[in-house]
Amino acid sequence: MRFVDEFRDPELGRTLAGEILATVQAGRHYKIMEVCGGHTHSIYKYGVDDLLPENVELVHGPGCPVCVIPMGRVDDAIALAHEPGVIFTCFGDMMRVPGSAGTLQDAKARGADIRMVYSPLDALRIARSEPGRQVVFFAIGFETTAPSTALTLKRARAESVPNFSVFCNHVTIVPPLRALLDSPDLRLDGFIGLGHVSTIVGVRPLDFIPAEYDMPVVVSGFEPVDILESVLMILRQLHSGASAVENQYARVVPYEGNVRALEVLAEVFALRPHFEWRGLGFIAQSGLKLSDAYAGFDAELRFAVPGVRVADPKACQCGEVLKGVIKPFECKVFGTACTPERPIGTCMVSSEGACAAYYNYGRFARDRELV
Amino acid sequence: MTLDPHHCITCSDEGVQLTVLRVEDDGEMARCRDESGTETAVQVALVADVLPGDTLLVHAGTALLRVRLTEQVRA
Amino acid sequence: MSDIGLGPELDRALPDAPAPAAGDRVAEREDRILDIIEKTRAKRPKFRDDHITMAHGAGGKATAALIEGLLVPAFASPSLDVLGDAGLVTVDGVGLAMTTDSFVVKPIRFPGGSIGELAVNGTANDIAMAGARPLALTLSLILEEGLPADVLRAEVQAIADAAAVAGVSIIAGDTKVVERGACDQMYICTTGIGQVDARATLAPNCLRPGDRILLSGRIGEHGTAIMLARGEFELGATVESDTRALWPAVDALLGAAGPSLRCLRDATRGGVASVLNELARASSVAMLVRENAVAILPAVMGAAELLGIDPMHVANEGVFVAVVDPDGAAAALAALRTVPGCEDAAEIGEVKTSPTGMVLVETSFGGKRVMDQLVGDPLPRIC
Repeated sequence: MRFVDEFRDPELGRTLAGEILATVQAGRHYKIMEVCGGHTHSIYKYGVDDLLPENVELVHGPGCPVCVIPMGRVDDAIALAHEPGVIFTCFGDMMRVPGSAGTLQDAKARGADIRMVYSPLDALRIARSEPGRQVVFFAIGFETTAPSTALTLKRARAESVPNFSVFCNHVTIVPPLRALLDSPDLRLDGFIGLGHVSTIVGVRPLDFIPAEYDMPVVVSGFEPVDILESVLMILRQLHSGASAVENQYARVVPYEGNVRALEVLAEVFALRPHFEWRGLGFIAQSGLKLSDAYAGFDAELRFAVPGVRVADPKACQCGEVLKGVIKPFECKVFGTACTPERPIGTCMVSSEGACAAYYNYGRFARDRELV
Repeated sequence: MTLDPHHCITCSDEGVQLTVLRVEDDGEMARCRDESGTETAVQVALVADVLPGDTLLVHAGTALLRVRLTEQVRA
Repeated sequence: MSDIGLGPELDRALPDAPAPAAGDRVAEREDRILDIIEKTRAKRPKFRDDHITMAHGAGGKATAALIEGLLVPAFASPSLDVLGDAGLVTVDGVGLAMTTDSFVVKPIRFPGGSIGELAVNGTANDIAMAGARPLALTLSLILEEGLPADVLRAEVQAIADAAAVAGVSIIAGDTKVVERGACDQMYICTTGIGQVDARATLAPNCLRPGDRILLSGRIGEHGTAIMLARGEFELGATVESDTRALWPAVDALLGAAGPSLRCLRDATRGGVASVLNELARASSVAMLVRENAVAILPAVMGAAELLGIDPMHVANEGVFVAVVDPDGAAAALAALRTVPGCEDAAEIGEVKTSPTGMVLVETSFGGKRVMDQLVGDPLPRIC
């Protein structure tokens, strides 16, 4: 498609990289955080950070809704999967996330009927085709993914599907951002936000960042040209001393977001008073559960889940890495007890996490040299 | 062939752009295709008045937005 | 509220975690950690899992850990240590290559082929990759009780046809039947044997900086065809498996550039990415691949994009990587392109000195990124 290609044009990329180089001040180190996995993914995929000057650092924030699921919730998921007769469905992402006694992948190896799906509708389809079994869907993701679950639940209710339920672990993006910004030891110069979450929640929820924290925010598209342009916009804001929310992705993201989606979310979900995030602790009003109207589809009510809170291992320093306080290699268990094959915390669980990326790219991540 | 080997649909918060072939199920679903011809079924209840030919931003099987076809041209 | 740790191994002190010394600068500590990681990565992987999971069959890191951590040490032999596609043995001065393979693909029939065809081509190709002409196969069939005779007949014909095309004889066989449910319609196990071609001097640990990396064709088609044939996802594209016998291509390469060929490896489970990573590690070199040079069908790109899978990790059954010294690269490529099925052959990259053991990709956008080996198992029972 022509208009997508335009935003992947290497020529344009070089031009923007040049403008960024011309804009940065020597001796100043810029740390820009992106929270949307889509941005991290694009940066990785196109090698965008390879095109930035050395003193501009892109850090990945707590944007991985999979990795922040605490171990106790993974244990609950595994318990559900082991319930007799249950078909447990989830996105592939969740299979390798460790609970206190292994992953869903391990549970599958031990005989649980765990099936990978690509959308909650797939799970509902399985429920319809296997009326004798209970189908549980492991719902994860930010406001980008929650509407998909919501629509599926509406459909399940309209069609009175009796054997379908949802184990809800949806989270919202703004509370952890605020928690991050409230940390006294946070070192950050600007945000590239929110990506596809913005298509649902709009740009408005970000107004608090420049208003209360005096930090520039640019809502960015996903193509590499978008990301470079957004970095440039943040640098320009920093040098002018202003801070505001700019919408670089206005071609797709409206200020008010998707009103219909927000209505559907309000109908199907309710905010939990607090929810625990692996590596970040308890954050108020950051997790969703099914509303009273949809309680009949709540897997936590239909089945008994252990509900045991499992603390992050004492050695885990993910919180500090996420806040940019320490670099991955400064974590005491980095590369030794915590590796991508046997991850402890969120930063290593997701391949897009800071630690996993650093572990896998090693010296190349630091030196960017190929000889 | 430009994808993260450990790509997560949710982690990466990915949205793909798909073109609507036909609307089904009283406007709740649409049959869509991507630029290579791969077809898939998409929930479209969150986007008003979807028509064949529209380009939608789709995540985890649900359309989040209609992408305006006239792109703003970079100066 | 309980406080369960992840097991005793985490709660005790970690002997290799370097304690920061007095006056230790951050950069020095970083260097030390990077050293530890690089040494760990270079070491033979250990097999530490409690159970076998699907990841162990995916052709990526878990498979490597199983093979290098458990199997190779247990069966130690010089031939096995090389970890080539086939084992080499010399009898009265004649070099023979032998290989074994098993096929558990699901479904057993798919666009572009079937389990029988895969069995013949897959086995013959392992021999061919060792620079040996495939001569004969043995065939062991494990059949599920209740398998329709027509299905068996069709596979037997497919095997016979594929063997004729590949120029190999089936010289021995075995058949077993297991109870309904104990296997999935049919599993096939093979042994292949071939004669090492005099023109071939191939080894995975002989790559040198400056060598060229050739890819024999378009990637990702077999895995995509299987995925679509499973019909678990609603995707309407038509893609066919690329299963084919590769000896003709190897023969052409040996003829045009024999002395220049360093190594051949077919990109089955784990895809091209796994092959390149294995070779980079075996030879302690780095590689740079140009994304734009890799041929791929738009339908494969599209299916992979929708499902979040990298085509470089998708299994192929008729594509291989050839590493050639710079002098022979042009002739090798030209010869390859004349072979049916290899018209899309291309030079996709180059061997470099460092970072050792890493494969880097120059993206279409111009930046570089790392192409890692597969972790996990996005596409189980692919071959």
